[in-house]
Amino acid sequence: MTEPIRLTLYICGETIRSQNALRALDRIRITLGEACEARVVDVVLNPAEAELVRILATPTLIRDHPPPTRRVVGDLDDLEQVRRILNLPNQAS
Amino acid sequence: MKQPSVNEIEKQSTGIPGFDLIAYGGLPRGRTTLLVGTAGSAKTIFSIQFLAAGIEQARQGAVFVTFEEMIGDIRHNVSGFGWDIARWEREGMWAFVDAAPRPLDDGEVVGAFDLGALLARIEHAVRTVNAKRVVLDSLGAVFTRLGEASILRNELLRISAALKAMGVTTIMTAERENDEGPLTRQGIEEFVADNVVIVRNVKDGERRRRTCEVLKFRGAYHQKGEFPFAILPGAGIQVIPLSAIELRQSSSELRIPSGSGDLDDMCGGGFFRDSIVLVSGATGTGKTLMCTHFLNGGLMAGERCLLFAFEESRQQLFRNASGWGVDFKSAEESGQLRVVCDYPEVASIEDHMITIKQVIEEFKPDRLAIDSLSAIERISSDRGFREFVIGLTSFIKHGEIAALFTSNTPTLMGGSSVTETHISSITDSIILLRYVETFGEISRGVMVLKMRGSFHDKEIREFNIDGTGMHIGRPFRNMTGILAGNPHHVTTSEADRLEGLFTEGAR
Repeated sequence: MTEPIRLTLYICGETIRSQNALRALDRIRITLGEACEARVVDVVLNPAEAELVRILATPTLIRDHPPPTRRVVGDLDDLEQVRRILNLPNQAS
Repeated sequence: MKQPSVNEIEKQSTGIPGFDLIAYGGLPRGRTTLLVGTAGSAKTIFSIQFLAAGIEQARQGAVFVTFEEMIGDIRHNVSGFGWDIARWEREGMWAFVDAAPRPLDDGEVVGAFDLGALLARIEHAVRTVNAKRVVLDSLGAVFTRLGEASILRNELLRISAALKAMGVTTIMTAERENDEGPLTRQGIEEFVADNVVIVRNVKDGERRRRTCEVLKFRGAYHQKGEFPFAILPGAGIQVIPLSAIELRQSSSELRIPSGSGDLDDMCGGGFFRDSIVLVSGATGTGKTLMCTHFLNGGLMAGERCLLFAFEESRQQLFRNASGWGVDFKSAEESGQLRVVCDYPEVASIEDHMITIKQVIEEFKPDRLAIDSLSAIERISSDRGFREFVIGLTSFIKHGEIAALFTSNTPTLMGGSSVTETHISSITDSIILLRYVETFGEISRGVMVLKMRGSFHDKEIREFNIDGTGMHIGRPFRNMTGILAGNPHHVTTSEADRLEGLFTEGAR
């Protein structure tokens, strides 16, 4: 049994960038299968959490678990890059 | 001061003494002002003083967005200025937006992004403390962290517009590389800069000189040019508005005693109530004594007197004064006199200026003596000193105070000093004290060189100093060249002949 991977995506309202990032997150979720728990936070609706985690730019995707936390900023148009930066496996193991 | 009021954009006081004067009221309300300066040019202090003024003067909430310094450091660093940020946070008057860099934040960039999260956080903070003033410090740091300059410029423009829509007055700071040349490395000024203020920390000789300048206020008036400022513990920034002070004081016809009956006679009946007198002479010619007489004259007339002494210690001054029969000690105890002794080197010229102003404002003297200006000149560049003298004299004139400054001439015989060239046109009267060598003996000469708006004695008179002070005697007859520092004796017949040439000189 592998450790679960927890991801949080911070977006800012219903923008094209938000939609792009959400689509990318979906694809990552599909490849990772059940090992992945993903959450989406809209900073417009929840600015206090954005303050707490110190989100500056949107979209930002954070791998909260396993530690150490890693972040990637942007609408995630290159999935290979995102996987490399967040150190995510290519497929469900 | 001309302060146009028609259709002018409303201003928000910065709480920075002097700055509101040169900015005609403060920063444009509801707008964004870009504050640029090199590292260490006091941008953060300026910004926080602006926020503090909102809280202290009008209970306006404040939001501070930090891109560089850690919040704990900011709280700690400005506590010395009397700004208790932690208390304001507890009172719900102050909110931080923490955008300071941390090793694991940001990460890498993949694809397009915006600063929507930052804007949402700022908006949230503004709502939370009901802020009217916002500071973003400093923008350059965002560019180094996220790259993508074109995106960031657009985003800053968007944030600036959003802040405007919220009706808050904003300062954005940005670092520049040099005190001259381009305003910011990233060209931020082209976007957010309806209003630009520059702070500088320029090396001037061996000293650093801080100045600030309002470069532009769109649709609003301001004074132009650089103005020196100082940073004072417990108070923050104080700008010294030089030309902003207008010479609008009424000119008085009232005469006051100079403290010496003989000198009163030479001046045609005493000094004017609101005049500035410069006493110039070599070391030991009696300048400090003349100060003492001047102050004593004030004390006798029941006036409040103030002395700034930069050359002698308190004990020395008081001892010498009592040697001449003037009791400074009891005068100070009664509150009629205040003596401030300081070494010029302990502070910068701007700091001295502010101290002098503060004491004058607090003590409200009728008479003021500074002994000597040359000592101040020693610690300053030419330009700094000129600004000091102009600023101080206009301030004194504003308060309608009779003032006497002394100035040291570098040579024993004759000569002039830089001090004189700077201030002789500003002062109303000039009294020269000179050594005169006659037949192998040194005596002292006094003359009134200039006395604005009054008849005065044109003769060079001998004067003596004894246990009761100074005594002005007869004019030097049969001598020429005293002023030039090269006196020589002329025979009686020649003196008579010369006198006959100038009938106007007969008195």
